[in-house]
Amino acid sequence: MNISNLRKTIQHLERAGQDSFYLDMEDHIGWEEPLSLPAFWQCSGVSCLDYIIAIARRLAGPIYWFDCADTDYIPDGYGLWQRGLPWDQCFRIKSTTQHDLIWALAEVLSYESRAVLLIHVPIDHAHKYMRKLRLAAEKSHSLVVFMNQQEALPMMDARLTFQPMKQGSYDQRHLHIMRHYHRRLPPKNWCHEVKIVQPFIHLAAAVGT
Amino acid sequence: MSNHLFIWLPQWALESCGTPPPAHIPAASHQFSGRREVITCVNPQATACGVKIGMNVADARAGCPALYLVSQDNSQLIKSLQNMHLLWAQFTPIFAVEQVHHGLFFGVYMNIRGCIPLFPDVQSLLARLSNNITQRGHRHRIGLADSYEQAWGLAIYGMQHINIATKHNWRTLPVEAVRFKQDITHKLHQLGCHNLASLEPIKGQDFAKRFGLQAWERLQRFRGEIPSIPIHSEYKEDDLHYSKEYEPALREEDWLQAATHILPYLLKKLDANGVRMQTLNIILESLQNEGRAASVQCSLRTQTPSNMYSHWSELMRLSLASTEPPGLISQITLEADVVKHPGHTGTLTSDRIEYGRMWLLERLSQRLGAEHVIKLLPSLSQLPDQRTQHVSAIYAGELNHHTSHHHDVFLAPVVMLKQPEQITPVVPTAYAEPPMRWRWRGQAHDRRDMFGPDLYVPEWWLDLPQWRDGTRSYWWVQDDQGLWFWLYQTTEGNGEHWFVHGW
Repeated sequence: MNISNLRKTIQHLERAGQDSFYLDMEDHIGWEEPLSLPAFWQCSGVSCLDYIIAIARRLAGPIYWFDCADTDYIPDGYGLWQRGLPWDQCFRIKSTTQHDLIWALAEVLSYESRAVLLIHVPIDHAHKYMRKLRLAAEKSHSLVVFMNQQEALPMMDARLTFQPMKQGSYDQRHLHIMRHYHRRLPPKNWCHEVKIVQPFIHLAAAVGT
Repeated sequence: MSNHLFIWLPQWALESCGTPPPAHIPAASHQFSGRREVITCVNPQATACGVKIGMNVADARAGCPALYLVSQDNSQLIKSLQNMHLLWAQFTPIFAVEQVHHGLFFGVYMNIRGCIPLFPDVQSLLARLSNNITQRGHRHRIGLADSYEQAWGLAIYGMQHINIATKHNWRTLPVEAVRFKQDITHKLHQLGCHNLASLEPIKGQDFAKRFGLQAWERLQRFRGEIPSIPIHSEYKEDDLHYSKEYEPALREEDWLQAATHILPYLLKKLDANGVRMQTLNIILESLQNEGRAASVQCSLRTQTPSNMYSHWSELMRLSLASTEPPGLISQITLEADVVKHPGHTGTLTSDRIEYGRMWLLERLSQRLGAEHVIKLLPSLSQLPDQRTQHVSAIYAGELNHHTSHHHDVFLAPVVMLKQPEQITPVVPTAYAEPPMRWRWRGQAHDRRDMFGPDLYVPEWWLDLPQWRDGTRSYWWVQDDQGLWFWLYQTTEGNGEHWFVHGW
């Protein structure tokens, strides 16, 4: 998959009158063309949060932080606010059971149109649950990000892995979107493997330098 | 006992127009009388300039070139008078706006019979009423009498600000106070009957024969010998319910669909009243044998008052699907408990989104528990682990404008450990810098880069146990894998201690 094919895909979507969502990310990732974002992401760890927060800031929607009551780390609203997320758009939802978690995810996905859902608890990725979430995600442009998942989850649109660079430059990281397809079309025809490597200035490092 | 009241608002046309004229300049309102524009209301400054009611507008302008003229819209004036119903309803539920005003006599009839015992005497009631009207900036005159007609006459033609009818004072009023037809008034003047006392000697039979039975009845009503026609009160209780009868009766299984169907009518009423529904009571009346009725009542309640149809219909569908009425349904009544509309602070769209989100959070809270749906809010503290407070989302108040207390050069982490975890420095450094190598959670990390420190002094007024170690210096430290850690150092007792607090 190269960029030209992706552009063709987007043009085809526009011609077909499909409601596709474009995210203008040129100031973060270096793209000049708008990017259609996948719905389901899997991140290797909390180190990827800076990328997700940058996306959430551009989505201009709320952040829902799903975790459990006995978690050892919590979101810091001040840090989120420093990264451009308004205070009144940061929510934390503690779920006790898998059933409640799936229900709450589906509820938020059904209502919010541009939210980012960060899931910090292990999720039962049974087919029926994932199908329910995917159906709920069809209604909106919200992103579902599974954080801290040890094994590769099925039915993910994109996997974000943290890869430090070895050339001694600490202020650059790489963003890898391994698979990409538009969520509103049958994945069989429109599934693409995308690998994008673009420099990204780490926020803390940018301030420090 | 006198309990019929009329309040005349002589300057109403000027006071309630869209752009009221300044008080210090002469002003008048005018209206088309069929042939010409005539003056209908003047303020004292215009009166001093010689402008009078009934004068041609051109003449008034010629006499007073600086006259501020306002075009009078009677229907609009009546509407604005009706909008003052809350003021009248403070005293009595029986009140009505005068409809036969001829563009001049705007006012309100009131029956104060029931509310007189609530005040020490009638004078204090009238003084309170007058004071309330004056506070709203309206000139007025009040007449209190045995009949509405007499109260009207006293208010218009009485000599005082508050005219209370006595046995004789109404007899000094001119015959115009009875509001005979114009030709009758003219003839009475021709006959030398200028006030009501001069009508006393005329026998009723003769008066009726000369001026007609209608004029005689009007005079009798004015005198209080025939009771006044009761006014149709404009007082309304809050109209917050909607009911619909079904003939033939509705089947039991169709009640939810029917209630959902009539719900928009209730919500429309609430919108018109400027209120939002918090509790919805649904009363199902069913017909049973021998014509006896049985009713079932169920209610729904939300934390966030809302008038959105989708919310309430969804709630009804979720909560009341299992409700079974006892038989065929003859009537469905929807009643609302409401709260007042809060002031709009944002745009319509943002307000709608905000209310929709509140509904979502409330829904999540109902299932997960209010303590499990949390909103992050800034606090007054400047300490890193205290400046974010986790508040239940449905009970969180509105966010005030938040300004950073601290210098923002040093970023706070996105993720913070609940309890800072101590690290084991393997290769410590001098000068209070982060260690070159440390172990944390069983893994060794080598320092590659760092920046800091960011110093925080404990806030003594909080007396937090975790801050009793003293000043903390926070550092961002990157390990050889590229991971950034948010470390801090305390100097307690004999040595330095390093902790991981976030990343």
